[in-house]
Amino acid sequence: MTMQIHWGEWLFWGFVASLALVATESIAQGLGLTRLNLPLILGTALTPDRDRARALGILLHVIMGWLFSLFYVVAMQFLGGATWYHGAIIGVAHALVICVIGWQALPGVHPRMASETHGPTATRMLEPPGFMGLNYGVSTPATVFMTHAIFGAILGGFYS
Amino acid sequence: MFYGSDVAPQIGDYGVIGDCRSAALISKQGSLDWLCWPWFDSPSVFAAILDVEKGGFWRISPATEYCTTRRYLPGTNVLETEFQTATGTLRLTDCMPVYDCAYERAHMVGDREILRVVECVSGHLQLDAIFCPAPKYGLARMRWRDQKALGIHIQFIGAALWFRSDLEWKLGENYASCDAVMRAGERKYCSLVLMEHGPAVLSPLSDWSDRALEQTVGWWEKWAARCEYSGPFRDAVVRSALALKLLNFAPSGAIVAAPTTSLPERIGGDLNWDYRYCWLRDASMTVTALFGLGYHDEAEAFIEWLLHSTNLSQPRLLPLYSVYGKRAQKERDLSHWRGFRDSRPVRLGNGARDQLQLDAYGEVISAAAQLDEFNKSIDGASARVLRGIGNYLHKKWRAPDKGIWEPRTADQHHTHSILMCWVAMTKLLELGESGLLNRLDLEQIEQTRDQIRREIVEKGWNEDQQTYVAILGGKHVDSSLLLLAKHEFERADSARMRSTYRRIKERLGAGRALIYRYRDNDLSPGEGAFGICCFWAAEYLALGGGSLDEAETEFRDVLTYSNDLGLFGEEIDPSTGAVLGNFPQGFTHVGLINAALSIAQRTTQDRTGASAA
Repeated sequence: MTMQIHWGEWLFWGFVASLALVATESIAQGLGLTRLNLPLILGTALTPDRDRARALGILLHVIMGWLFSLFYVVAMQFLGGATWYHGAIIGVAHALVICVIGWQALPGVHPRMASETHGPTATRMLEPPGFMGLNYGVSTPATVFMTHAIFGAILGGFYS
Repeated sequence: MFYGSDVAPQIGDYGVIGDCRSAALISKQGSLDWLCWPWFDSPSVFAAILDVEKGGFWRISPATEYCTTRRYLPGTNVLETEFQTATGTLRLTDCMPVYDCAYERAHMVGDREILRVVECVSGHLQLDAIFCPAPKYGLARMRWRDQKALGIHIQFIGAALWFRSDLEWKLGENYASCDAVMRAGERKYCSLVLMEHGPAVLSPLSDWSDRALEQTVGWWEKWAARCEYSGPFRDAVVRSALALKLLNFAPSGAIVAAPTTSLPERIGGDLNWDYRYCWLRDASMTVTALFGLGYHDEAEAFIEWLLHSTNLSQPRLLPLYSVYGKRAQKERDLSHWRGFRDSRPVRLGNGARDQLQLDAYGEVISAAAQLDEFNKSIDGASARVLRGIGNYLHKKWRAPDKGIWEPRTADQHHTHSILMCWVAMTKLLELGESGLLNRLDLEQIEQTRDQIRREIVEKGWNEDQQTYVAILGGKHVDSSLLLLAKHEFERADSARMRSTYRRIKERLGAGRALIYRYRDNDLSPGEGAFGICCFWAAEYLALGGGSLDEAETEFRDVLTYSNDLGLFGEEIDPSTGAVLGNFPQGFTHVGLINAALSIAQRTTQDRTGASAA
């Protein structure tokens, strides 16, 4: 199998899918389904000022989504081509990794996130997500699965 | 079950803390019995004041018998309560942390926090502390988890609470309790944060909490120090300004009438209303108070809110709006709550939202006109709003309305409402003539103004009774007639005003300096004397209706009806002096400030007059 990436399409649809990811997460948050706020979590890694952190975090989140979409593109090729359902399946797998491993590891790498073992300190005060992100609400895992499935479906559906 | 009493303490037994977004009431027993979070009009987290069993509370007090003294730390809204027991003294310091912008940018601070610092000052004592929240008006299903080092996590649909403390708390079913023994010199911390959107910021307690307390004290002290009033009533005025600032919703500039709902105007009665909204009828008096004390930023932000946050309904103005300028919620009863000392129903939302209250138009225009008095400008967008409101009022001023007291009876022609229409026309003319408001038909406004004046002079005056009357063509008085002098419709020392004042004191007097707002039409039998009306009477005397001594005496007398912290509710029980109604009440504190300012002005005038003579 030869790996062929349409760079122009990846750049465009990867960007669109990332915007959609940020938007759907924000909608889920606004609807009270979850308190997960990835832009805030990402932004506070760089600054304690939460207003700036939110703005910076949105930018970081879109850039990271963009980069991750390249992995999706590669993975879809392994699955037999880019389709909306291949994208969604990869999104679900990605979400599973985030929920099971990512959230647990986050307090260890985030410079301002409180540790579940030691509690908050003067520099690490942000509430950690806990197992499956459940600290941020019982619907958090479902929200992560749904938003990443949408991200993958958009990418798979439009990238060819 | 846990509260220790079947009923909540008296309304005046509460103190208030806040962060200009929401406010909490804390009793002399150290029980936090009211808090709507995260905003003033959000559902409650603690509401034992309205139902000791189902409302939720957070008490920190000694386990043994005690007596209490309390105060605000000078120039702040940080509440300090001291409990003296036979074995020792406990000091409880309560605040909702606020920080200056530079500190917030440099440190990660919580969005919404209640910080309670518990210190054993002398001896030793055992605590009797219970943390028993009941979110969403007691209707939320909570999921409690002890997350050890992180604290106690209480999750419910739409938000989560994190409760952290270095005291040892035992978890029960939907509550936590603490019976720790504290010894002299021990200092412990309790922090509660709420987060609706996004991860919470958890307080590390100890030094961090001390810094938060220090920041909060500094923030309030700095704010209070800006008060330019320096007369003999400075303590009362600064406390009123601080109370008013607590009711200021900083994100939008709105000022809510009170942070509570359904604290009764008559104990055991049904005069229980939701005051967690911003009433336009308070507008010009509030702006006068803020400008008069030198709080120009707050005054301008409030005017901005008045003119622009209400734009969804303009040119029609509703009597009240939410803090973000939305229409108030439809009125409904919380039937599962007992109400304060069985005063039912407990209401959410406010039915007055649909009323026509013409005075609101005059209040808004008069508030905006003060920008000119303080040499501020009126931008194009604001000018358009003022023109729109003015044109609307021009067509509407003859309509009957509910008036300032918003009774739930048929519309009538209220003298006060028509007075405020006259004020609106007068202010529009002034703005037009000074060039601040162009494209006005000044001739037409002048004609309307004169027409309104004739209406009041002819129909608002009762020749037989020798008094202005509450309803055109009527025979009863109400206290809002005192404002005829304040708004310069009549000179305070005119024969008509003096006679009206005498009539008001005679018909509405409730003993000493207390007066009812109205009495004659059985609209509201049994309610208390109305706080702001008592201050209007003192102000009327200061404006020329009496001597300076008379004004000061009247004012001092009303001041004696505040609670031990200097706070006023909406009304005062004339027989006991107890606070009635929603608490603390911004309108009453606005009345206090304006009366003090008028007395100060009169003092200056009298001195100038004496030295000239």
